[in-house]
Amino acid sequence: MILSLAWRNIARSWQRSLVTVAAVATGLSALIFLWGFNDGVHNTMMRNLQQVIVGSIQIHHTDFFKKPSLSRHMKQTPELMKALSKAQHSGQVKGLSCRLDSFALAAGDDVSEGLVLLGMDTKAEAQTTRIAEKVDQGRFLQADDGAVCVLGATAARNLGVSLGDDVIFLTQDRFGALAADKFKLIGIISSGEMGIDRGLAIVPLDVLQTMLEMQGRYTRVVLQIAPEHLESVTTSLRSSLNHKDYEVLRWYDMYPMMKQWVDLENAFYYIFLGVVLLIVAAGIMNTVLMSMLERVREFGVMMALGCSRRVLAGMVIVESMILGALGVLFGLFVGLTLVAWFHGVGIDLSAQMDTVARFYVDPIVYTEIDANHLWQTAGSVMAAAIVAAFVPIWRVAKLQPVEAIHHV
Amino acid sequence: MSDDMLLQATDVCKYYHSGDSDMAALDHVDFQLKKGDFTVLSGRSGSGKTTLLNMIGLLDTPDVGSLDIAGEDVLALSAAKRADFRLQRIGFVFQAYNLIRVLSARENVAYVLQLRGMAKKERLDIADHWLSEVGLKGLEHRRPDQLSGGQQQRVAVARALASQPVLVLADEPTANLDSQHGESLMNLMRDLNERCGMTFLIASHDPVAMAAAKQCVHMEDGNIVSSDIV
Amino acid sequence: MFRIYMRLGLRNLLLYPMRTGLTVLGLAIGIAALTFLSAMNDGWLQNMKVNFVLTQMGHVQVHAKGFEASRRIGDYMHDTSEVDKALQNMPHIQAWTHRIRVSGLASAAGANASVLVSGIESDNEKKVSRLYDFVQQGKWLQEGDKRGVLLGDVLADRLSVGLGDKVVLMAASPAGDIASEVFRVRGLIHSGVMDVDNLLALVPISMAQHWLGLGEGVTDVVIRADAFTSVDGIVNNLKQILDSKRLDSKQFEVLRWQEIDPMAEQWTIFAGVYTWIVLLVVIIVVLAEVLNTMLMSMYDRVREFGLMAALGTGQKQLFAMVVCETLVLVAMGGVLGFVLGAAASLYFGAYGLDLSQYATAFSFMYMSPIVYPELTFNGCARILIAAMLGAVLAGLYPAWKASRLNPAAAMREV
Repeated sequence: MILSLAWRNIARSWQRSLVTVAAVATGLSALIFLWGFNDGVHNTMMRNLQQVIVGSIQIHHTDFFKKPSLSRHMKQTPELMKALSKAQHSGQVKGLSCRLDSFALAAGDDVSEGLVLLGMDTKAEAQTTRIAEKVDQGRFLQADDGAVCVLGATAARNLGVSLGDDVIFLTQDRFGALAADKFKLIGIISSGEMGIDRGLAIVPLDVLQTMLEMQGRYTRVVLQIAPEHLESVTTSLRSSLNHKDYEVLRWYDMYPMMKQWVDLENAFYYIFLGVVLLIVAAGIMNTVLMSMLERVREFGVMMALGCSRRVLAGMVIVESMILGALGVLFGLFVGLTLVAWFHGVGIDLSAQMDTVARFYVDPIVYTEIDANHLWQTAGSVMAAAIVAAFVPIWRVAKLQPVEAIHHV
Repeated sequence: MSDDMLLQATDVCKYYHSGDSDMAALDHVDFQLKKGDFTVLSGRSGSGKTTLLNMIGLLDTPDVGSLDIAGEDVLALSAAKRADFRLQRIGFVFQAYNLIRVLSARENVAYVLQLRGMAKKERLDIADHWLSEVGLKGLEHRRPDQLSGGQQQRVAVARALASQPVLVLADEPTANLDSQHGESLMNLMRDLNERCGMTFLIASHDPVAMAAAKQCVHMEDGNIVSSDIV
Repeated sequence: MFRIYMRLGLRNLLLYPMRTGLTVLGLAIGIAALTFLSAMNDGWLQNMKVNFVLTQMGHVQVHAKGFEASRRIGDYMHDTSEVDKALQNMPHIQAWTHRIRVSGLASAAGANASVLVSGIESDNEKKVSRLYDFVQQGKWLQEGDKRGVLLGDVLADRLSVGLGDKVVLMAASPAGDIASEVFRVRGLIHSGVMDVDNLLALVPISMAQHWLGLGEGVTDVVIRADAFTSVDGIVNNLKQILDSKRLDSKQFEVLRWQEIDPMAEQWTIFAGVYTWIVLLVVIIVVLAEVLNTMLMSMYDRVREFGLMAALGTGQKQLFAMVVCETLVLVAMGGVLGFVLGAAASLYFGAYGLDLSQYATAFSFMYMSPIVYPELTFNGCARILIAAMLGAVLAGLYPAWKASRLNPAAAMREV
């Protein structure tokens, strides 16, 4: 009965109800779109960071990340192999590759540059990261390439070398002896990311192992994992690997600024969520209050006829909930349609920002929304609609039948 | 049209759609008013008197027929010109909700004058003059909700007269008043008609109103059925 | 006539204090949040710009032509006396210094790392950059201490070296030979900026010149202007003087900070786009609410509009009246919100807003985690203009509806 009464009241002043539903829907769809944009940018940033080269998880010898040194290396011990094969069998690991890296001085004709010399296993790397896609001149490494290298574009330019030229890398091997070798430049990477373009040289893993006297030894194991499995895989790896010998680091343990940045911006969005919620709640309260004031007389008659205050209050709250629910439904529909549409076509901001690739941001933003952001937002709007009914309910509860009937 | 003729409505029809059929609210009505008339249109509700009043007040347009007011073919006017014609030539008194809620009695009267572009001091003087004419001296600064129903209607009359219109239209002005206040309102209007020569057309089925009339026109089902000089 | 619309609008709004109050509150919250966000954004972008420039880069740099692109030590300036002479009498210059910049390799006890070696003039450097303020352990480079080096703290950690330890720096000389020198760590630098803490090795410029065989040559003249607004003037002035002094004007390149590293400017633009989107969305939500209120108020007053029309109020006048009422409503909320937002901005502008939990993200962006919001004219004007424009837009539909009412039908409404 309450439901049908409430619905009739909504239908009676349909124009006003429509306006309110539209306002709630606008608020919610605007928030959903905002989240869509935000999550789109953030997820792209985080995906790019993990997929281009860093990976989702890296395993090193303990302390290697902070103090890289060839003495802190790993071998294919049974312990490590067991942990890795366990992770792989869980089906949550998309790719896994072993790397060896060291600092080196690269010399071109008459210039030298300090670089990270990174040995990669071409086959395993292809399943783990997308670094090969970032080669824009020449080609990436292939199996059995021999002494060849791929350089970042800035590094190649700084060294004054082009495809086919020889680059000499000067470094120290595992025993501290000076090691120098000549590598033929076969590819140049333009990722937009400064660290890669300016400071990286990639060479075949086996060649580098030989050069550094590191046969069968690695400095990093890189795993690519979907975001939803990141934590569980990390926990499992940490439990099966000895802390004294191995460190298991997630991408944001290694590069915390991006995660912090995302958290910071999300915090801002939560503030705006709160602001928009207050505005939407004020709107619903307005409508319910107005329609209640109009009906004070009617309420008085109903009370005189024996209708309890509780029923009246129930009616007001149900009215508010119906308005809120309709608004939320429309808002979800419009907001998700917007997000889906821009997920397809993207928002082209390349005119506003050419090369923010440094932050792993793509200039074309494809909106997407995290499920928990979506439900938090829709849930809070709905909750705001219910809370908005409390002021009118309070007024109803204070109503005296005789006074109400005489209300004009 | 003779010199003292103010209004000439010829063969006026107005139809309303109800369901499948059209209902004639005005069915080929001919109607005249002379300067200085004080005419009451009577008839039951639905007889077409308010519709006729709305036509004459340019609030509504007939589907068929012609309408001349003060020598002007008013049906040929655009919406904006009609608003201007109402402003310059016609005064209105309605049944209820006559006044703008948020303006004082004085500001309500002055509003029409302001629409005409009159200077502030002049229009406030005129408003005060007409408020005292309708017996509301001292209540100029009250808001409508601080005035009784009868007082509100008097403010409406003062407003209708303040702009010196050629014709004052009143739609059921006494409907929300008790008979004593209704009579005094009608006497006020009749008095102003005699002293100032203003033409009044009043739609009402209130016997008190009919008693004050110089001429009584009776309508039934969209037709004028009788017209008596009292 | 305008005055009576304003008065009518105001009084109509006051007729329903609850409804108007709620709408004004919603508006005020929205505008206050926008004002504060904008001030915060301007505050930290300004902070970033200043830190970005003053950490190391300077406002303007002069190099040998092509050095910025090539970064080849071979492209150095043999003689900067013309530049120095030009700078001597130029207004708006706070200080300038010379540097040698070269990328190389550092090694110590088995560990090695790539470094950016920077040869500096110890006294002048203090006046130009903040590197001096960032010395965390040990001392700044002393005049005459030829083999002293200051390292970024992360770099030192990587090399496992501390104060007094030996470090070997290796770099290629213009002739192409790899030259190495032994230095002793005199101090550690912590700036929070990755490029500095992870890469930088500061050595005396005279030592760098000797070690790399540059004679009296340097790679950079780094200029600190008195303000960002002076940068363009300095650059034009300097280019003109250098052009007029020698026929061979192709010898130098004069670069603004944005040209040296566009990061700060790009980030400003990126943050700007973000702010615009948030601004747009909040304004839309707020205005949906204003539209809601105005439509309700209009539906309530159909009779009154009918009456006004009957009295001869023209359609345009009715239209203007509703728009005015909307403007009054938005102005009330806007002013209240702006005052609240501005007050919060000024308060935190004075005392700072501590966001240290995001410190790494901030220092990566050259920003201090204590944010001091800054009210700028542009930021405020943008919000107020958007709100007012939006108010007019939100008022248009109810105004249009009000002006289209048929007076006779409207009067029949109850």
